[in-house]
Amino acid sequence: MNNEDFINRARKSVKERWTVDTIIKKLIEMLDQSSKAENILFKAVYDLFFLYYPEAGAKLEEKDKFMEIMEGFSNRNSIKDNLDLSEDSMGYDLDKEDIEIIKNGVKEIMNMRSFKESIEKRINEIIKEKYPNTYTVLGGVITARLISIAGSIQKLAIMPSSKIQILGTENTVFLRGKKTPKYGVIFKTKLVQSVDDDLKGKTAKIVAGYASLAIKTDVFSKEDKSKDLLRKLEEEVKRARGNGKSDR
Amino acid sequence: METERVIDNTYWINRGSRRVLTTINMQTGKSVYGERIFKINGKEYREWIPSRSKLAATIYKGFKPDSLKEGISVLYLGASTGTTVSHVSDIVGKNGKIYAVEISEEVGVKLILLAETRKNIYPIIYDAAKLEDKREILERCDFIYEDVAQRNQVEIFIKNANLFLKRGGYGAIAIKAKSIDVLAKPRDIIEKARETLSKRFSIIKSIDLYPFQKDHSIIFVKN
Repeated sequence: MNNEDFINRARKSVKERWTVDTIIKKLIEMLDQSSKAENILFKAVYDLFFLYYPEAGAKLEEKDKFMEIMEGFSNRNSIKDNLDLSEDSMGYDLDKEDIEIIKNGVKEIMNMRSFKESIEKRINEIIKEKYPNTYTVLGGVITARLISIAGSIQKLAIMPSSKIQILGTENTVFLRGKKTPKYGVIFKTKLVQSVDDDLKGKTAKIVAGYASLAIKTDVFSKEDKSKDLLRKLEEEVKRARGNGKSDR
Repeated sequence: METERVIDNTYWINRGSRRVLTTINMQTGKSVYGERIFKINGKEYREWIPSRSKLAATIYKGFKPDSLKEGISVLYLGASTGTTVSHVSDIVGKNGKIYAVEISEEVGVKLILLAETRKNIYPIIYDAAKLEDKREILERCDFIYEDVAQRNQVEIFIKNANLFLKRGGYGAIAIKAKSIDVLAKPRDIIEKARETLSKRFSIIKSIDLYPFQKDHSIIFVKN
C-alpha cells in the first residue's frame, strides 16, 4: 500500500469520526468564549464611560442595567433623567469622537449578546432533536455542558449518576479538608434552582438520577419517554421537599 | 555560516555564538509550522526547535540518535500535528517511510494535510494502543518512536515493539512523568519505566529533557 491509500483511509476515518457531539462541544465552547469576550468588552467600555460620567457609572455597575440605560445614550443629557442625576458632572468632558467609541462599544456588546442567544438557541435545537429525554430533564445548555465534559453522550451513558451529579467540579473533588461537592453543572437546572439551599444537594441527586436514566434512554432505546420522566422527577422532588426540614 | 553533521540529513548551523539544529528540507521553499529556513550553498535547512520537539531537545542535550538513518522505516506513535514527524521525514528521506499514528481526529487533519505534501509519511488515524487491528497494512519497522502521554505508555510501547519492531531494531520512548503519576517524583517514574523496559530491551540511554521540556525524559532502546 502506498502513501495515497493511507491518506485516503485516514481521511475517511476522520470524516467518519465526527459526530453531533463534536458540534455540541464546539458550540458550548463558543458560548463560553463569547461570554468572556462580552465581559471583557463591557469592562473596557464601562471604564471609558466612567471617566466621562462617574455619577452615572456608580449607579450602573451591573451589566444588565448598564446595557438597558445605555441603549439611548448619546451624551450626559440623554441619560440623566433615567438616573435622577444633574448634568453637572465631575467627569472628564470627552470629545464627540470618544463618545462615539462608547456608543459603538455598546452596540458591539449588543451584537455579542444576540450572537450568544443564537448559539444557545441552536444548542437547544440540536439537543432537543437528538436527545429529547435528556432535554426535558436538564435543558439544552446543561446537557451540552455535560457532553462537553464527558467527551460524548456514550461516555455519559455508562457513567454512574453520582458522577453525573458532580461533573464540572473536577478541580474541587479531591481538595483536602473539604467535603465532596454536592453538585456540578447540574446546579443550574431549573429544579435545583427552585428549591431551598438545604435541599439543593438532595435535589441535585434526584435530578442526576433521572438525567442518567434519560441519557441511557436516548442512547440505547431511543424512545421518547420525556413526559413520563419529567412527571416522575417532579413528583420525587416534591416528596423530597415535603420530607425536608423546610416547611414549604 | 558553517554546518556540522549530526545524523543523516541533520546539521548544526553555527550562527555566531549560537548554533541551531536543522534538517535538510525535503520540500524546497516550504515551511511546515512556521519555522525558520536557512539557505546555505544551495541547500535548504529547516530549523528544528527543541521546545517544540522532544527529539530535537534530545540532540540539544548532546545525544546523537544515529539509529535514525536515511531510508529506514519508522513507526511513529502519537504523531500529533506532525511537527516532529516532518523532521523525521526529512531525515529518512524519499526512500524511507514513516507510519504516523494519531488518535485524535482534530489534530489528525493537520497530519493528513502534511502527508499529502510529503510522500514518505503514511498517516493512520487510530488508537496507538490497538494497532493490532491494523496489522495487515503495517509492516515491521526499523525504528519505533512513541510520544503519547498516556498512563500506560510503557506497556503500549512494548506491545507495539513486539508487533512491529524488527529484530535488532531501535526504539525511543518519550515519557511524560506527570501523565503517568502526578504525585510521584518524576525521577522514580523514569527509573521504574527503565526497569520495565530493561526486561524486554537493552537500554541505550535515558535523557532528561530539562530545560527544554519539563518533567520529560526520553529513553532509547535496542531490540
